[in-house]
Amino acid sequence: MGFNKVYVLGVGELPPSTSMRELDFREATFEAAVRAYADAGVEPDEVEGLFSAEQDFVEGISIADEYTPDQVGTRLKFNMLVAGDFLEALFHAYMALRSGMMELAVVESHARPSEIENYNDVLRSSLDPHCLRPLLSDPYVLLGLDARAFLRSSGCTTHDLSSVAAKNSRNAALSGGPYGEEVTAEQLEEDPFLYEPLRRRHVARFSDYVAVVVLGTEKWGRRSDRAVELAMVWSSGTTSAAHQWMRSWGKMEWVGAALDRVRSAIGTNPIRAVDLIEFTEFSAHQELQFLSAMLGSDGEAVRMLRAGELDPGSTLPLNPSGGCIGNGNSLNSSGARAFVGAVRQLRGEAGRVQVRGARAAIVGSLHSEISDSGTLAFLRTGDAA
Amino acid sequence: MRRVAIVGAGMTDFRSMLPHSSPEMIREAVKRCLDDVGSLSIRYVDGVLCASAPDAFDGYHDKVSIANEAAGAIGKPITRVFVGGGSGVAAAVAGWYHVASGLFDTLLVVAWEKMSPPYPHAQKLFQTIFEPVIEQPLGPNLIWIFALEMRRYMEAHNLTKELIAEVAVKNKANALDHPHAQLGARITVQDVLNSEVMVWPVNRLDISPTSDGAVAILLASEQEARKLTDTPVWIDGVATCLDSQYWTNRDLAFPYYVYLAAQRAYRMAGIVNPLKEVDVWEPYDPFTYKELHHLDGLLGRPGLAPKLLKEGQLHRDGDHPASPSGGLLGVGNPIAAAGLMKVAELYWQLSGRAGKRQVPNAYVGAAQAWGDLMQVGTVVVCRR
Repeated sequence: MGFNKVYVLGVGELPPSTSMRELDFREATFEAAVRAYADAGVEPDEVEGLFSAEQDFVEGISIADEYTPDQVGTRLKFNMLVAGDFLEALFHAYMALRSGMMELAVVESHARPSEIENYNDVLRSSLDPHCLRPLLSDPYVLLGLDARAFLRSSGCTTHDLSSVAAKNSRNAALSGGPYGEEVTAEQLEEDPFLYEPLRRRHVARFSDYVAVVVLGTEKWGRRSDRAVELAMVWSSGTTSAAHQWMRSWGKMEWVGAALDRVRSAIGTNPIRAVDLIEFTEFSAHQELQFLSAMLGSDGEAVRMLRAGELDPGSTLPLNPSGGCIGNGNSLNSSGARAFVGAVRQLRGEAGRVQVRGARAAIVGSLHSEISDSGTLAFLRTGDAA
Repeated sequence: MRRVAIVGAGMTDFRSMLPHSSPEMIREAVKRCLDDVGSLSIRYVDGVLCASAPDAFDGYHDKVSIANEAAGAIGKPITRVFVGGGSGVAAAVAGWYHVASGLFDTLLVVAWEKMSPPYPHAQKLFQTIFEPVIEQPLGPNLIWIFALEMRRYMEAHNLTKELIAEVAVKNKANALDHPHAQLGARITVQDVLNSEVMVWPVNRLDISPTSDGAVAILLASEQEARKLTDTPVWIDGVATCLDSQYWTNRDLAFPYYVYLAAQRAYRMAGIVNPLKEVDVWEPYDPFTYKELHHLDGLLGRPGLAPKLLKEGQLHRDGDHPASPSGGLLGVGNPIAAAGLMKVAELYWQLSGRAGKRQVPNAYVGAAQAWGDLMQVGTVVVCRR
């Protein structure tokens, strides 16, 4: 039985910024949709379905998908709201297209943390109300615990975390990310601890962002020489529940399962096939954690970092866009920013952060800042497809 | 397309103030579902898809974390979908494409809602679904807008309150045969008319209750389904359709979004004349008039459902049985779980296991749910 191949036909975004207050969220989504359709060369009327990624408490509106069809041009079309990161909605769209249910779909996500006065309270309310919420006035403490566990098991140092943050900040300075800056690891080592061992600039600050991505099957992919194949998306489960008792601290066990699915889809080890990786590192240790899980070796990830092999122009550029540290934590839209960045790379349109000859990329996103589940997408173009 | 079957279903009782937490409800529904498939181990299941409506009911942000351990999904792929009241059937739709895509051979779909704890009433939380600039300052609640819609529907088809009240009489009576029902009862049209007026023309007995409850179904590819059961029920058509948020700009007399969703699902399922080809209907009935309103959309003929009701054809022993389960009016309305209950009812009906609720000669069924700001229709068509 054959299943459809899926292609990325177009992307539209309003680049990350510390505040998008000059635009209502509906105006911003409309603008991103207009850009995506123009980029894809399709008309909204041709689209069959919409998949959006939103969360009630982040929106301040319950059942947030009510507010997508008018802005995205999908009124009276198929609709599905996925409560998670953009890549999880992409996972759903990928399955719908692959199944033959539809041929052309859009995936939308927006986040406006600049308008949330108490995000830490929102995030805290994702935790068990009896055992954890009373203990954690600030849920980001969990990031610190996880980072500590990772450092202990991997042999990384806080300086390595500063190296990650410095790399991403420098990359973002080139890509135009709102938190981009020319900074060294040594300078970041001067930052105070925020959630020890994480220093202030080891943790991503917030940014507003909105993106719309147009996906199509082969029928549509064949029409465009800029289409990028979405070879596999896989969303992996967690090791913990809201109470976090069973969590595998310091590790990203979800990556292995997702990697297996990508491997079976493309027929080779994905890490050997890719030219770059984009990942939603909400804190510096998560980037190394993710790479360690991808490589199956803590030591190798650290070695690559220290050897500069994760820098742009080197062996395996990791977050050439600047990641979340350089572009901001756009909550459930963080995966969208990483995904759009990777698509631009594979189309040779990434400007000053372009990875030369990029033909295949992995995009990874965490379900949330403090989650231990996530999603992988494998993209390829040209000869790699 | 790869065929997808329902091979098992299970649910909790639907109750107000059910003395179970959300994880406990989920666990119970999942256990009953897996027991329904010959005490299948959760290890056999490839992934979990869950649905639950506003986060505020549980007081949790990102409440998929409630479900992952309770549903046995630790280490398995799990995502959550929701489209308000349409969530339960939307979950079956999303579950369908999980399996139809070839990425999953078995998938557990679980929906739950815990509506009792919000104080003073769950209705207060619904205020946050309204448009924040124009509508929220007016302090609307759902009963207001449904009263507007009911009034428009009555006007468009010259319907009486007495006729619409018969839906409550029928569904509550049907629910007497449902082992998990919250409000099964023998009532009369006069009881409905004499019940408290909430917002005219809506009386208390026109409305489904607030409920707690959970439902789970197990989906499987054709190959797996043949291994697991002798009575698979095939999901042959699925669709959702979302209309504009600007509900005030629409003619509320006909749910065009339900009509479009149904037409798409019928096309997938190869159904040309739903009135003739569908043997059992489970339309979404949070209010009495909504069963008729939605059936009009499902049948594609405005005003037909009230005529069928008047002729007794929507009764369980009629030619076009609607809500033989007892529907939301009788079984209860834990929002996302209520929609999935309707899909589960199709499974029980089409596999011949509905007990006293069994509709004779049921081969094809359609379930539908509705939600968001009166704007989304979700539909599945199933076959024996």
